[in-house]
This record gives sequence, C-alpha cells and structure tokens, in this order.
Amino acid sequence: MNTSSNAAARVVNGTKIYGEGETEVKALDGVNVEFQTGEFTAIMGPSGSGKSTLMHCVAGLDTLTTGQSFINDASLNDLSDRELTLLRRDKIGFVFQAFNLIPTLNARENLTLPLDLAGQKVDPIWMNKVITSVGLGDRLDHRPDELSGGQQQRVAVARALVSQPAIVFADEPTGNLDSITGNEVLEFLRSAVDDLNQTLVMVTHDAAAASRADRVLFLADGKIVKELSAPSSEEIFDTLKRLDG
Amino acid sequence: MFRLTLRNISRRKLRYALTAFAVVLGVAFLSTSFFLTDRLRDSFDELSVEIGSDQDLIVRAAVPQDADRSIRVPVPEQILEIVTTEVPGIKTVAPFIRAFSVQPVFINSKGESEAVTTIGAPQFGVNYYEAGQLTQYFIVEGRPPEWIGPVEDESVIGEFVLDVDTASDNDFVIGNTYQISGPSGNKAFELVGTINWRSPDENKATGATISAFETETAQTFLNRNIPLGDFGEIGTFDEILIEVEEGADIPTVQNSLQTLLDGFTDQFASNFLALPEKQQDALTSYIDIQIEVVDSETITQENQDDFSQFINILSNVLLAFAIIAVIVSAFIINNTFSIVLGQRVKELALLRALGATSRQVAQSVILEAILIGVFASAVGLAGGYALALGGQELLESVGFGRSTGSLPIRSRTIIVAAVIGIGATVLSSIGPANRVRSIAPVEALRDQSGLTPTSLSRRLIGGVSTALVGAVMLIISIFKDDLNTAPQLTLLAGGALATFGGVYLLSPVATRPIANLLGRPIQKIFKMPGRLAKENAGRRPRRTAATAAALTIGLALVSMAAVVSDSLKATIGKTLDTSISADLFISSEGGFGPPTGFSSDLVVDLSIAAEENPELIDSAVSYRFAFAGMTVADDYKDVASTDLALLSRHMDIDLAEGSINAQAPEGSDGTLLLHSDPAETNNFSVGDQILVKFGGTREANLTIAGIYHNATLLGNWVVDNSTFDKYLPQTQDFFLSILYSPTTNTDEALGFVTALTDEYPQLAVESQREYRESIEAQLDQVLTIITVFLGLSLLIAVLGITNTLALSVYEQTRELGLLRAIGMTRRQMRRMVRWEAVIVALFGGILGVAMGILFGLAATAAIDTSIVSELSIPVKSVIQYLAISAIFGIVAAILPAYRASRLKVLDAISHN
Ligand SMILES: Nc1ncnc2c1ncn2[C@@H]1O[C@H](COP(=O)(O)OP(=O)(O)OP(=O)(O)O)[C@@H](O)[C@H]1O
Ligand SMILES: [Mg+2]
Repeated sequence: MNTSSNAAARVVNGTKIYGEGETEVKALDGVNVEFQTGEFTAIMGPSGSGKSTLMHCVAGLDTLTTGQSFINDASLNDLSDRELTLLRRDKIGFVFQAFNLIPTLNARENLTLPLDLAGQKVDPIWMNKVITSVGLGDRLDHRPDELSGGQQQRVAVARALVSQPAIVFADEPTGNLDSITGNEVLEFLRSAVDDLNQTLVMVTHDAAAASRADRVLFLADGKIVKELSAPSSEEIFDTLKRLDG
Repeated sequence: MFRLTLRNISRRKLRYALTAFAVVLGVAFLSTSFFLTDRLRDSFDELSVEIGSDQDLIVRAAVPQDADRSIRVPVPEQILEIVTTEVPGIKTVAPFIRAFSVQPVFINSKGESEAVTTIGAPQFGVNYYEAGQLTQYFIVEGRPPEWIGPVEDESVIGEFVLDVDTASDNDFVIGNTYQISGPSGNKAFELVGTINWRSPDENKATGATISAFETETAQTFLNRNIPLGDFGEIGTFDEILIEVEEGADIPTVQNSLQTLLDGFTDQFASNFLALPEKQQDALTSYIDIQIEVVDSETITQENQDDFSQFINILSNVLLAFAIIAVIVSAFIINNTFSIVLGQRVKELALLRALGATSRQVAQSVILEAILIGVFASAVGLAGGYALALGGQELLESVGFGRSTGSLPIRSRTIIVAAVIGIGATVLSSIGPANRVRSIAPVEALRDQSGLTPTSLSRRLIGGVSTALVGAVMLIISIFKDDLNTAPQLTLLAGGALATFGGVYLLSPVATRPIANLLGRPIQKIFKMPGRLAKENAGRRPRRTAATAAALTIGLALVSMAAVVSDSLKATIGKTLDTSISADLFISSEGGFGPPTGFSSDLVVDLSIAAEENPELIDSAVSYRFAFAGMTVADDYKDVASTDLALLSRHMDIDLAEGSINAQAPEGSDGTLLLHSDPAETNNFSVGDQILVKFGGTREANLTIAGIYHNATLLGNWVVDNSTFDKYLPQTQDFFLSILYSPTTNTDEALGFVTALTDEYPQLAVESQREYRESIEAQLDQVLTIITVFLGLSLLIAVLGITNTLALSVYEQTRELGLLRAIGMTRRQMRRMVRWEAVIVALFGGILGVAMGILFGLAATAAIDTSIVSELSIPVKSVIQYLAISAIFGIVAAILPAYRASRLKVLDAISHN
C-alpha cells in the first residue's frame, strides 16, 4: 500500500483491541479504508461490528492498537493529546446522535464554537452560506432547549461544516429523529457534499439513510466485508440480510 | 433500605468524602478547642490545688485592690513576729513578697540590652526563703541570694537568683551582674544561682519569670517599705505563709490568729495618730488595713476561679469560631446533598416505581446523613485530638506552659462534637430529603430530571422580608445608645443574622447579573473558555449562591472586624492629630499581652530633668490604669490616674464643663473627671460629690471637677495620681507623655529623654507618629488573630467551592466531552473551570464584603462614642479581601479543573 494519496482520511491495517486475555475484544480487525475528498461514505453493520470504533480511530478520538490512520496524509499515531485536539478542532467535524450542543450557548454560538475555540475570525461569506443552508432563520438566537430535535441536529451539522474541515464524521445523526426530520437532516448532509464538496462519513443503521451516500461500507466483526457504490435501499437491504444470515 | 444506603455511600465515596471533610474540619476545630482548654483547665486546677495546699494558712490584707483579687496592700512585717511567737500550733512561718513586672535585663545576640519578656505569663519579683514545707524555691545551681547591704545605696550590688528556664532561654550566666527593672526602678544585681519553682526536680513556673532576692533586699527593691517621714519606714510583706503543726486543729489556729491580728490592726492604726495629717492621708490604705487569715481551701478556690475565668473567655472565643466553622460546613453539606440528590433523582424515582414509599426514600437520605455525620464526627474528634496535641506542643514551645501530661478526654467533648457534627449534617439534609419526598415514580422515565427547588417567588418574598427585618434591627441598634446593654447587642447580632439570611435567600436572583458582570472582563481576556465559565457560573443560580454563601459568612465577619478596627484607628488617629500636644510617649514594649507597669522613678527623673533643662523639656506626665479598680454605685469601673495639673498641656480631652485641675473642696478626698456618656447615664454634673470605692471597699468622696468628651486615651473615669497613691498605692505607671519646650531642639531633647530611659530597656520612647503606628500595629495584630481563627471557615468555604465544582464537572461530563471532541484543549478546559470558580468565589466575596462593611458600620455606630467616634472603611483591605476571594476560587478549582481536563473524551461523550 502506498503511503501517499489524495484521500481526506484513510486507515491502513487498522486493528483495535479492547481488554486483555479472557475479556479481549477485537473491535477492528485489519481494516483498510480510504475516504476520498468530496465523497459521502455510509458505514453499516450489525451492532458491535466496530462502526463507531472505526470512526473514532479515524477521527482522532481514539487510537488504533496497530496500524495507522491518516487525515490528509498526516498520521495520527504519534500525535499528542494537544495535537489531536487541534486536529479535531481544525480538520474534523463531528455530529453525534444526541447531545451535540452546549446548552448555555445559543444556536449561533454553538455553530461557531470550533472557530471561537480556535480564536479564529469567522469568514462572513462562508458563514452566511452555512447559516442559510441550516435554514434556521431567527431561531439562531435561541438556546438548544428551545429548538426541536431536528433543528438541533441541523445546527450540529452546520457546526461540523463551519470550520471547513477535511472530513465530517456523523455517528447515527438521525438515530433520534422521526423519519421526516431525519430526512431533512440527511438532505442537509447531502447538500453539504454536493454544494460544498465536503467529505462525509456517516454511521447508520437505516438503509434509507445509507442509500443517500455515494458508497456504503459494511462491517462485521471488525472487518470490512462488503462495499457498494451508490446503492439503492433495496440493494442495501439485501446485503444486510445476507450478512446477517 | 439500610443496605441500599450503605451501598450508595460506598459508590460515591469521593463525593461523600469531600462533604464529610467539611464537617470533619468543623468538628476537629471544635474538639481541639475543648481538648486544649480542658488541658489548660486541668493543669491550672492542679496547680491551684498544689499552690493552695502548700501552706495551711495565709495571712494577708483582707481587701483586694482590684476586681480579680490579684493586687493587695502588703501587711506590716511586725505580724511575722506575732505569728511566729504568739500562737500555739504553728510549725513553720514564711514571709512572702511577690511583685509583678520585675524584668531582668540581658544582652541579646545583637549586643543590645533587652528585658526578658514572656507570652502573657507574669514576671515575678519575690523574696527567697527556705522554710520547710513552705519552701517554694529550690536551688539548681549556685547558691541562695544573700544580704549584701542596703540596695538603695547605688554602690551596693545585691544578689539574685533566677528561674532556671528564663536563665537558660536567655543565656544568663551565674556570676555576672544584670540590671533588673522593678517597681523602684532599675538596679544592678549579681546572679548567684538558678532555681526551680515548686519542685526540687522540675521548674513548674509554666513560662513565668521569677527573680528572687534575699528578703530584706526584696523589701527595698520591690517597694515593700512604707516611708513614714520622721518615723523612718515600716517593712511589709505581701503575705505570711503558715504551716500548722501536725495534730493541731487548723480552724482553731486560724481563729486565734485572727483575733490576735484584729487586735494588732487597731493598735497599728493608733500608732499613726501621732503623724501629721498629710502623712496620715497618704497612708490611708495601710491605716485602714484589715488583715485576714485564710485557709488553703480558700486560696485554691480563688485561684481556680481566676483561672477558670480566664479559660472560660478563651474557650468561649474558640467555641465561637468553631461554631462559625460548623455553620459554614452546614451550608456546604446542604448544598452537596441537594446536588447529589438532584443527580440521583432518576435512581430514586426508580426505587419509587419499584414500590418504595416516599417516606422510605426520604428516610434513606436522612440515614445517609446520619452515617456521614457519625463518620465525620469520629474522624473530626480524632483529628481534633491530634491537632490539640500539636497545639499543646506549640503552646509549650512559645513558653505558654511547660506542663506535661496527656490531654483529658471529657465525655462532654465527645457529646458536643457528636451532637454538633451529626446535628449539622442531619439538619442540612432535611431540606433536600423533603424535596426527595416529592419525586414521582414517572421521573425515572423522564429525560431531564431534577429536584424541584423552592419557588423563586417564595424565595423573593421570604428574602426581602427577612432582610428588611434585619435592616430594621440594625438601624434600631445603631440609634439606641450604649452598646453595653445586652438587648442592644442581641439586636445587632440578630439584625446581622437576619440580613444575612435575607441576602442568602435573595442571592440566587442576583447570581446571574453578577456572574455576567464579573464574567465580562474574563470573557474579554479568555474568549470562549471565559464565556463558558461565565455561563456555567450563572447557569444554576441556587447552587452558585449556596456555594458562595460559605465564603460570604467568613468574609463578612473578617470585613466587619476590619471596619471596626479601621474606625478605631481613625478615631485614635484623629485624637492624636487634634488633641495631643505631647511630643513623646513612653510605654513598655510588651509585644504580647497586657502592658507592664514600671517604676515611677522615671517620671520623677524626667520631671527633675525638665526643671533643670527648661529650654529642652517642658514637662512629663505619667498615667496609671486600674482595671475594675473603682466602683461607682457598686459597678466596677476602669479608672485612670494622671497628673491633672499638667494634663491639659499634654492633651486636650475636650472638656465640656468644669475644669481639669480644680482643687478638691474641703471634706472631699479628691477630684474626678468623667466622660460625658457616664455623666449622662448617672446624672452627674460638675460640683457633685460622689461616693466611690477603690478596690471594692475603700470609700472616697470625690468631687466631679470636669466632664469631657474625648475618652480615647484615658477612658471614662480619671483621677489625680495623688488619689491613686492614696487608695491604690500598688498601681504602677503604665505610660508617660513628654512635652518639649516650644523653643526646643528636638534632636537634643529626644537624645536627652532617650538617655534617661536607657536603663529601662523594656520601655519604648515613641514620637506621636511612632506611637500611632504601634497602636495601629496592635489593632492589626488583633485583626490578624481574628482572621486566622476565621481562616478555618474560609478553608471550609474553599472546600465547598471545590466540592460543587467537582459535582458540576461530573454532571457535565458529557458536555465537557463534546467540547473536547470539537476541539477544546485541556488548557482551555482548565481555564473554563478555573474562571467559573473565580466568579463563584468573587460573588461570595462581594456579598460577604458588602455585608461585612454594613455590619461593621452598624457595630461601629452602635459602639459607645467614647471608644469609636469615626467611621472608616478600609478600602485597601476590602480590595485585598476581594483579591483573596479570587485566589480562593483559583485554588478551589485546581482539582476539579484537573479532573475535567483529564476526562477521557470517548468515555465522556458516551456518558449518561
Ligand atoms: N471502551 C470499550 N471497552 C471495551 N470494549 C469496547 C469498548 N468500546 C467498544 N467496545 C467493543 O468493541 C466492539 C465494537 O464496538 P462499537 O461501539 O464500535 O460497535 P458499533 O458497530 O458502533 O455498534 P452499535 O451499532 O451498537 O453502535 C463491541 O464488541 C464493543 O463491545
Ligand atoms: Mg456505534
């Protein structure tokens, strides 16, 4: 495997082992994967298959036991906590399933939080673009507890985009939403890829959600067992069924 | 339920440990003060019994000169003969002389003369004697002092022995000659030996200095000879100690001796009838003398009473500070319980859903409190014992007692510590426990759950009305004069308490605005972390307010003391600036403890010098003070005496009426000046003759010559020195003031005075400015002691902030994880927690300082104007206190900030 490519992020021979001896769990088992710039990847697989672990290891929230992970060709392996933090702040966007927003800050402040933490000036044009795309209007001055779940997730997505990161990770971003609001959030994610050329990795259990991606990876027992390019929901269903069985 | 409670506690060890620690500290302080004061009381009691049982009977003047019986007129030495020869059944007799403020002078390591000082312990000058059972002094090295010649003769160098501890502490060498400062002035004596007091093997002087002289030498040097003009002089002893023969009945001996002595006093008085009237006058105290024979039980009882009076004051002061500490801890416990239970609502609701009654749930909370209280009280007691051991060492190392022995553990100590420790914990858990009762089973299913706090409107109403009541009480106490009355003190304290309560209830309302205000500059400097700190501080107003309250209490008390002390300083400063014309002041460099008196030789010398050098020095005036030395209508008063003829040249006491140096009319025993306050209360006016009693019994008819307004320096009651000479002859000069001539060369005059006082190394010569500074330094010292004692409460308050922050960090784990995930660095996170703590601490500090100033001003205004007449706010100290609060915040945040920054990001974002 060559050490350089134009991928936004990649993992080479990644394994992740939790625990020792009796209780040892191989959450990732020799994973090789690349996420190309501007590509929307969905990761699917049964519960406990290692989806979140993979994401965390690429995103600098966790470290691989063996193997290497890269963001923009920079290896994460030798980074200190501080360097990892700065990398997350500047190069990576996150959307979690829930609790994405700081309750004491209003939506707008939550949105610009990574920039504020970095002490960076907000690029007004980019900012405008992001804000318009969230479509929150005057609700931007409200605190998270005054927003609906869908609105909250949209703010979270916008926050992930605001620092123009190399890659955005979303772990079941629609897991807590009903299908209509979930769809809105997916729409928003999709448009970020299409309009802003944003690299996006999304973990999901929902075949319909995964069908919006350019590519779907299937994980089982810590291994990538299947990859589909721009599949339909049915194709995804079939694959899942086959993997389960 | 009990097992569940235990499990709850063990699961949240750290949180409960922090809570318990506050109680532990409070209880430890409380029990330390008990242990130590019990120890002191025991050793004093022991000492009293020992001292009392040394002799069977004591002969002494019946009437003490002051309220606490320590000063008496000495008895004529002829009595010794009567006792020795005329009464059957007496085995041994010893004459006893004991003068106070006798200070040997040594050359210190800097080569300067320095008088021996002690920490509060007396400095005795005594006569050395050996008399069988009655012997008190035991030679360690050298030999007993002997009669060398009349020491009033300058060329005669007498001998003395010194207690072995004072000698070794200050490197006294046997064979060398030392100056000793005593009631008759300074004289040189050769040190011929060292002694143990009360035991041949061990010096039991417990920190006191004992200089012992041969008896006749002692009579001369310690002023125990009464001059009788042409009749020569009569020697006296302070007491005569008696050991009764074995088998003799003590009361019988006592009675027959008393009868004999009564006969003697009648005869003794008639001896004086031949004296000129003026001289008779000066000898009043001796002519009227009543002599009593008391037994050892009486002496023991008196000593115990004196000691326990002193110890009661000490223990009450310590107790007061300990109770403040416990109250502060109660706030913290209450707050912790509220927070912890708030975090456990889900779990408690689940219990309810599983069938536990609301009562059972509440009971489990109280049970938790009891267990914590028991544990904390036990640890606190143990810690208190350890602290007391340390305290005992410390006291001994600074010379305050050299006793050995273990600390007494009284059941009272354990009961009080347990009641207060457990009581405070349980009481502060009742509120949260009651709120737990209202948890509905469905809350187990809710996402956001917490305890329902008291409604804000109820708080507002309660707070405003309580604060109003407090303010009204404060105002009444200010405008009602004479603080000495208990109701007014109660009013002041009650007012302060109610105001505090009201402010405490209201403070959550103010939390947000104040947090925003304080947070603004922090946000400016620290950007996002500062912003979040501000938001977090204002986010849970009740919690912030309750956390800050602990600090508020401590700082309110410190600032209150600072305001009173500053007002006192301002009053004294103003008095010195406007009403003192004297140029120099002389007083003992006591350092610690009450000032020591000194020989009136000095003022005589200075006055002679003034007469001889009128171009340099105008005059010298001496001042004496007798605390509780005079009764007016059976009330003990502190009274001062001075040279009334010269006083007005040295200071302006702001005379309202009459004159200062009026002659006492025929039939009056002297003149009296008094402050306008007591004049008003007693309805006295100039020209009135009033009957006072000196030393409790010696009656004198004094004519009120003047009424004045400024009591800062002399107090409320002033008589002439001649009146003291007559009625309180044992009182020494405490203070001198010297006025330069208008045309003087100040350097020369100062040099002149300094040269004369050179032989009194214990005395300091100070200019007005220096004098003022030394008074201010003394006030600062008192303030420092108060602050140190409140330090524990402040420490507990810091602990409270730490505790709350730690709980908040725990509560916000997920939020903190999110912040770290999206790019907050560890440093930024520490900053966020730290500045939240600073805001909370400053909030408490501001409230505390503001209330402290208010209470201080109220107290100052309420205190008698003769003591404090100026109001002053110590701006510098106030700013310091606020800065210190901020530092407290930073210190309190160290641990929680570290914990927050070390959170594992992944664990944190998946934390529930
Ligand atoms: N901190 C940890 N300690 C031990 N084992 C862990 C830890 N985190 C994950 N695992 C284990 O690693 C494996 C993969 O977990 P992971 O969270 O990546 O699965 P997932 O595919 O995201 O599952 P889900 O769909 O339920 O979110 C699982 O077996 C899990 O139990
Ligand atoms: Mg997962």
